[in-house]
Amino acid sequence: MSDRPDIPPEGAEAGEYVLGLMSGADKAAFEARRAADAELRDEVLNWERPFAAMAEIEIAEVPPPERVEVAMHAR
Amino acid sequence: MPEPPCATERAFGALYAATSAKLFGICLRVLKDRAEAEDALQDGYFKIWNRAGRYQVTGHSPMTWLITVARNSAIDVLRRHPRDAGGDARDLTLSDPAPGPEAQAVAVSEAGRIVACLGELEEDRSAAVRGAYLEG
Repeated sequence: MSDRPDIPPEGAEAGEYVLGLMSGADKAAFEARRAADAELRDEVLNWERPFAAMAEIEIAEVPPPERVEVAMHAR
Repeated sequence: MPEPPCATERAFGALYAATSAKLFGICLRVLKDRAEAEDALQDGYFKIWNRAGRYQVTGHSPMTWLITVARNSAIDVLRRHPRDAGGDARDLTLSDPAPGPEAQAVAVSEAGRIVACLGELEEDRSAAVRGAYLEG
């Protein structure tokens, strides 16, 4: 455990963003910084990628009802 | 969306047929409610279809991108209709140190990397991080 819980490890902020732990002003400020910062964009991608891989492996496929696709075409 | 030309509609149909069961499974896991998961799936494909031209600049592989968009759509629906759940994942922070050398050695793949990182966390924190991703 960290001796300094007030200093997040590198990339932790991006992780909190990806996990949906940020809201309101914090989230908006982070997104503004990300728009101007390629490194921060990479950090976000580096968090999204393994979580998506985990979801792809662990979550069973469930065919959606046909009405969803019908509604999509109407949209 | 605007009336798509026939070829575009077929392309959407093919994408939908190939990926909708996986993405619906993810929406259901997040929302645990079929009607809401159907809404989230529709929102997700709407975003996917409208942002398809921009997908290459995100830097993700196609399936990673589709899963990320669908999961985020489901989380958005969840935030609009919060569950009456026990713990709130938003109380969680990620202020633990980086994984140790053993965990880093295990990290041969990206999926391996996240599993290794989660393994380094205490059991309840690990469940909280997974839960935060899939259950908001």
